[in-house]
Amino acid sequence: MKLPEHVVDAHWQGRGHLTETVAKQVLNDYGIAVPRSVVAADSRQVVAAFESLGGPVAVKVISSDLVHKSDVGGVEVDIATPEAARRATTTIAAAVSDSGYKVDGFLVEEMVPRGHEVVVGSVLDPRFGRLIMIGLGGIFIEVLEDVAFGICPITEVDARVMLHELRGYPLLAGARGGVVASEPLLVDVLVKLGGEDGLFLSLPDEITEVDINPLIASDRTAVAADARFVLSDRNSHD
Amino acid sequence: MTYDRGAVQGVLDKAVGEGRTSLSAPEAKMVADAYGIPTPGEGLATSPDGAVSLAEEIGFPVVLKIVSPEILHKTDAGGVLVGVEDAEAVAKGYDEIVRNAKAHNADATITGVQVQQMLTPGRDVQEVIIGSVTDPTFGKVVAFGLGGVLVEVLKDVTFRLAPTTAEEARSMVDGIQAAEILDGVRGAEAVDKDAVAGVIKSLSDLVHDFPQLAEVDLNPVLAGKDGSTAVDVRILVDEKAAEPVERFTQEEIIASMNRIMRPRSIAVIGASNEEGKIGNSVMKNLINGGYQGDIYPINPKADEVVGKKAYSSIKEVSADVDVAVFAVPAKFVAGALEECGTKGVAGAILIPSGFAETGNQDLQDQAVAIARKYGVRILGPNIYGYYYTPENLCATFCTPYDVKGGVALSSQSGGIGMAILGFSRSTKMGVSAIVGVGNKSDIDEDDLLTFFEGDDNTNIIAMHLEDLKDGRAFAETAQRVSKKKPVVVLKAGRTDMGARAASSHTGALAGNDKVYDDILRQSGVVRAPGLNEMLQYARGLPLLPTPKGENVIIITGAGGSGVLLSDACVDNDLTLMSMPPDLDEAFKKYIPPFGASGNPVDITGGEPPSTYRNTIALGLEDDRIHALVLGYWHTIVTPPMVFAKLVAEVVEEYRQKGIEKPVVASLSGDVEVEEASQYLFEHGVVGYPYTTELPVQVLGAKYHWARNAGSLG
Repeated sequence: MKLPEHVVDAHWQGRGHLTETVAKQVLNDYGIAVPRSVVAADSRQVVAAFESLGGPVAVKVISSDLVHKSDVGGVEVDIATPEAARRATTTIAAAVSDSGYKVDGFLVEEMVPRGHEVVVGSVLDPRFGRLIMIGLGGIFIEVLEDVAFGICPITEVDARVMLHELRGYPLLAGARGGVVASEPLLVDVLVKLGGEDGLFLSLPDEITEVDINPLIASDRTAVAADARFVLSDRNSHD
Repeated sequence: MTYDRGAVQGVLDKAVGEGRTSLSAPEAKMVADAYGIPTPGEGLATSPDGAVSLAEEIGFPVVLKIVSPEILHKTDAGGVLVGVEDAEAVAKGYDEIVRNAKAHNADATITGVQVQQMLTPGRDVQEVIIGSVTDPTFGKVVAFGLGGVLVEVLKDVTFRLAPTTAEEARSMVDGIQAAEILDGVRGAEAVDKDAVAGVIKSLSDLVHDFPQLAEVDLNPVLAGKDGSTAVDVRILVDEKAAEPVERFTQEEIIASMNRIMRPRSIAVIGASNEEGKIGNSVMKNLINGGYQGDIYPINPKADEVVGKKAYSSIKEVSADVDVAVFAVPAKFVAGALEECGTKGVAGAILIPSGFAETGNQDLQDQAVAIARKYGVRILGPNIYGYYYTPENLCATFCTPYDVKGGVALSSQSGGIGMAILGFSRSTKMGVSAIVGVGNKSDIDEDDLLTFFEGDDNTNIIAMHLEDLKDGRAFAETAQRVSKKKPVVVLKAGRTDMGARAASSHTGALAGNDKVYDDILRQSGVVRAPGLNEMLQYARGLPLLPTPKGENVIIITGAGGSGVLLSDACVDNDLTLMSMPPDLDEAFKKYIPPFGASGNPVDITGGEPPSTYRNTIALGLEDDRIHALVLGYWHTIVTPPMVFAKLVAEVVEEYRQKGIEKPVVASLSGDVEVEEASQYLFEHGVVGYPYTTELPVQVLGAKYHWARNAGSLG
């Protein structure tokens, strides 16, 4: 793991965050599952990447100056055919350029199996130091602010307590005949991130916020579908 | 909105005639149509062209379903197509499912193909649930919540009595936790909330008009900016749900209750000379309590009981008797009650236990039947009795209580009754009545409310209850009474999940405390979170004048109290006034330069009595301020009793000028603050030692009541 170097890179490139590719690489280094992905420069390479990943994919723009990719049409999901992959590349490139952002390439990523959208994050709090947060995605986090915080490092017991604190916990447990999210897997992810030897405690102070949103959790997998590492203002050039 | 009652009646007659307890989907749709509840557009097509023109009329996408009496499982027969997007697909789809149906069963008669509007929740369309149940306590109740996981996992749902007004229906839509979603989050379109409220209102009218509709579930209802559509309508029918509840008229209640609460004469059944017997305690309490009416001990074995001439039976008493207090074992109650009935007694006070509470329901039912026969009202059984201080009436086995005042209290449990008595005595709370209702075989809270409503000696009513026998009667009475006098309720069993067998979503949700909570609020009741709060509200509310507006200010000598008092104000739905600049300047004149202006006004710790005095006077003087919360800190410069006296003085001074505002105080300091708090109470200021929450809770309760009663400003 070469996080400080990535931070320095982002810093020198004037970005306030790590690229998605780097972010996922970092997560992968700490044992968090991420979707398999291939970086492609153009639509021909996107189609090739589709073939090599073999199955439904998402295509996302790689842009050094764009953070909220989906807001400007920089993401297409559930792409099932090579032809659709080619078309998606064109659509994304046009949408992103039209919005005035750079198109540096495309990330072709396997679609994550269906599951619950979980959000795991971290902030560097001036009083408590590095914190870990977990919440359920969608309206649970946005409207009901249904989240639980812990101070790093957390233990397995802490992780379990945090999960159970969520009002939406019954959903993870499969309420209403829904998908069950594996609790041991979620606990494992939380400890790998927020535990004694976890990622969060190894982060340099320049990284003030981490957002893994969503982490898709099912009975067999917990995959980080997207992640952002935000650098503090004083360390970025923008 | 005009409703087609005849159409609903027709559907119900048919279903009931066939002995069914649920309506079929088409029947349920007819009922919904009759009450203007929108359902997905649909129609029957008998040709591909017909299907296309129907689909064009309804709007794409549509669902196609085979209609054939021989084919019950349409999907298995390949007889259902969903998400059919255009005319061409509809025509092709028609042929396809007819072909499939024939392949499935060559002999099937094909009536045609049902074309149905296909609605799906999405970014701009929210899934909500609207329903109605027949609650054992409250009768017809309507429910509203967001659909899907939210209603089931978070129980984010709200209830009202049916029928609702348009405003109440709208308050339900705005009243759920996740209401924000309906306004459109993350760029989604806002839902037409009036349309949602319209469906709630129509449903509430429907179940009110047709009480045999035991449960109605509109789930899901898809709500968008262009309206709300009930995608699925499920209706359960039960003739029993339509049975009316037996009730006394308001006049009947008042006539009986007047005789019971202000009796001219009382008989004590089982009066005794033996120390320690209930019949002895009751006699002594009646006499020592100072009751001025006639007392007739009934005891076949004595000539005299506690100095009063005894009778072998109530029949022997020649004068009229208003109340009979029973101090005999349960098994003797029925016989004596018959005699009381013949005698024309108005109220039988059944102290003995051994009835429904020990499983002896039959004995209790028997007593109620006898009482009904003669028009006697029963209080209890299984109670400590009752007090009514204006008549010096202490018809209990406890101890007399003589601090007269305007607070009427009741309790379902005897233990809570003792707590009421102890608290009242300890705080010198002025009481008009304390009534034990016990098993509530007959007289219950709405009878008491009806009496206290018109009782000039009572200005607030506080009730502890575990359940309500007839919740609807209570809600209706409370709604009326709480407009005039605060009604405080401590409802026990808040956390009892009361898992009831229920066949609908709404039914399952209605099993929790939320129904009580919502309906008590709808009735204008102030719900106390615990016993102490109920007693403190009872004690404090009558002291506080009704505020004339929402602007609350905090004046504090302790910065720490200021922060806690601010939190408490927010927790209790109070509005901390944003201080106008000129008022801010005016306060600054009285406080040291390092004190903080704004709200709270922090006058700082070491200030002399004059600083408290001046700032409080300003708070009372300025008519933009409507209520004062004071935070006191014990200092040598301004000791507790000095503070208490100056507050009482300045409040009285303004009262003389005709300026009355609620003033509550939180006192921090050594034990002297206890005496100071009691002094404040005695002078019309709600003051508490060692708590920043309680004074604000009491003020919050006053506001809650005043807002509901419409008497705020």
